[in-house]
Amino acid sequence: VQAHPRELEILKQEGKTMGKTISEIIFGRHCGKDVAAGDLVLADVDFCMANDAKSALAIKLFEKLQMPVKNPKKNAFIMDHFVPCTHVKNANDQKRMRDFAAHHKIALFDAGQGICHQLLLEKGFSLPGSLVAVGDSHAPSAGAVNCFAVAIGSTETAALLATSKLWFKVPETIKVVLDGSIPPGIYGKDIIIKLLGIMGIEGANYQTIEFHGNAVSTLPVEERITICNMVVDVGAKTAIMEHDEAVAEWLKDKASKHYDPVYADSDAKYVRVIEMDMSIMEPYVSCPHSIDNTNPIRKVAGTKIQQVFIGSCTNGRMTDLQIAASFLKDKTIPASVRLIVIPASQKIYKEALKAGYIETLIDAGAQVMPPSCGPCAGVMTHQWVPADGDVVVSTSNRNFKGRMGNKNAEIYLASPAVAAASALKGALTDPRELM
Amino acid sequence: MGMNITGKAHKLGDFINTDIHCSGKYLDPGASQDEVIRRLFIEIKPGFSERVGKGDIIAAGEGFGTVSSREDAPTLLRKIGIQAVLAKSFGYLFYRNAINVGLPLVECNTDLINENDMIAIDLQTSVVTNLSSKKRIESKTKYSAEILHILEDGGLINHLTKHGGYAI
Repeated sequence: VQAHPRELEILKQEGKTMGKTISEIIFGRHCGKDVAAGDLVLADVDFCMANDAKSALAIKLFEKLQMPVKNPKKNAFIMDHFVPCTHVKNANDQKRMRDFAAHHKIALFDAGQGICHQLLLEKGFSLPGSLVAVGDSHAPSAGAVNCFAVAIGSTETAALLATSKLWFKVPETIKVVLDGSIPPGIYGKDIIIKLLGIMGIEGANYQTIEFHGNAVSTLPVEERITICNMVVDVGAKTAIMEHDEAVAEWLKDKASKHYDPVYADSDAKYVRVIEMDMSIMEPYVSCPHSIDNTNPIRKVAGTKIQQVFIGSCTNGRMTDLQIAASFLKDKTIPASVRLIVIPASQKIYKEALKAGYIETLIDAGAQVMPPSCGPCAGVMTHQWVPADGDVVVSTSNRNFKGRMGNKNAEIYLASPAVAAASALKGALTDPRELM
Repeated sequence: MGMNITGKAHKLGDFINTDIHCSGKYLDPGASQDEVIRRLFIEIKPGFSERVGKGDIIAAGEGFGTVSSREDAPTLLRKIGIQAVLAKSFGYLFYRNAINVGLPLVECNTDLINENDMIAIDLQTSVVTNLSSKKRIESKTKYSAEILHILEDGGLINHLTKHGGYAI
């Protein structure tokens, strides 16, 4: 792992203040008292989700409790990891989920309907000002809509099924300010990859990353989701952004109940402030084998690639497919490249079909797979395992050695624009050259 | 589990993420738990689980248990007899999962611990003592009464079962 570029000024705020961060306000609301970072609280959780990678153990632990499901409407099971299912054990685990959900009358989203983080947003379970516990590490995605979403383990899922309450240590907060206008060819993915490089793998351990700045409001909500999605791998508890008109508009056909957004106090206390100037941004990639091994694309451009994956909870949404299609319209990828495209949900899949993006991508040489985590989750899904020596460009969120099922392959994480441009050229490519 | 722990230390390095804990992820889904246990830390310390005895502790470096929310990581450590983990810092999902499965973690300077040193930990005061070198090691961890209660009960499931709900 190379040294982290400490190119940006880091300001440590000092001085006492009574102002509150978004995290402090949300936890205060959910435990009915005034709280500050560091406090231990027992909070009411608005919604809890388990996917097929974690729910078998959660069910087993819940049954040990011999308690009823406290609030069936506050829980859902989603199958996204083992889709399509390739092993008897996983098929049996999924059957247990179906049986449990039917018996306890909790919502079930069966295989192929979408990735859990996308469905939590699409179905209106993750709402502004709410506290949501998700049995998967990429929970912070929902921070884009001002929802405090936190990843939990199977024991916690079992406890939430029985009580709808969970203990938390109210996290400290790092403020990240995105200012300036974002140049063409730069997307949410480039911004978060650059930030991960600045912060390093443990840069935000136990802390919330609160995003502010005038560039946030210019980003489409879907790109804000991409930014929040990846903070877990710098150790952050979650990411959160403020509510605005774009979020309200995006939630219009999704939220079925009233929500109450939370804004940070102007004198809130942050442990660290990081300012990023968007106007000097360029496309960034995470190089093998660590997400914080980041480089501008120009430093690695020309590296030959064999496989490209566009999808995942990080970048499998409409804007991502639209960007990919715009680069690949009326073009064909070389025979040396495999291009795999996976829409993050059935809803996105249908919309992309209607918009013609899927046809464009297939004509360019893509293989389109049903909504799921796909090759991102690794060997356990047995999907598109790369060969020894293969170089993969992926719009997903992790590039550890072996992540896609082969320790002798290399994975570069990038935006859909970099992924599509690189698929077209058969080598890592700056998408701005093709715009 | 008492609030005072004494055990023999096994040293591990920096940034051992939960993929390295449980390389069993890369086995077939049908692999037995024994096989996953046999492969604990196999990439960095082959034969680890065979060397661990009941009541031993781990002394690791920075970022122990980062990355996935995989609960098998702390669960399997308890299963092979690990009584507590000391490290310079922990991944937060691992930290929560460990408390919830009843495995206490303490943040301290583990450079002051060598392989096979006997270590004493007082969870109430968070004082760590290296009995072999007779040195006291300052710790950054301060457990609240609520967390000590969950640890004392042997984790969250046992806590809820014992009290019929939260008793914190």
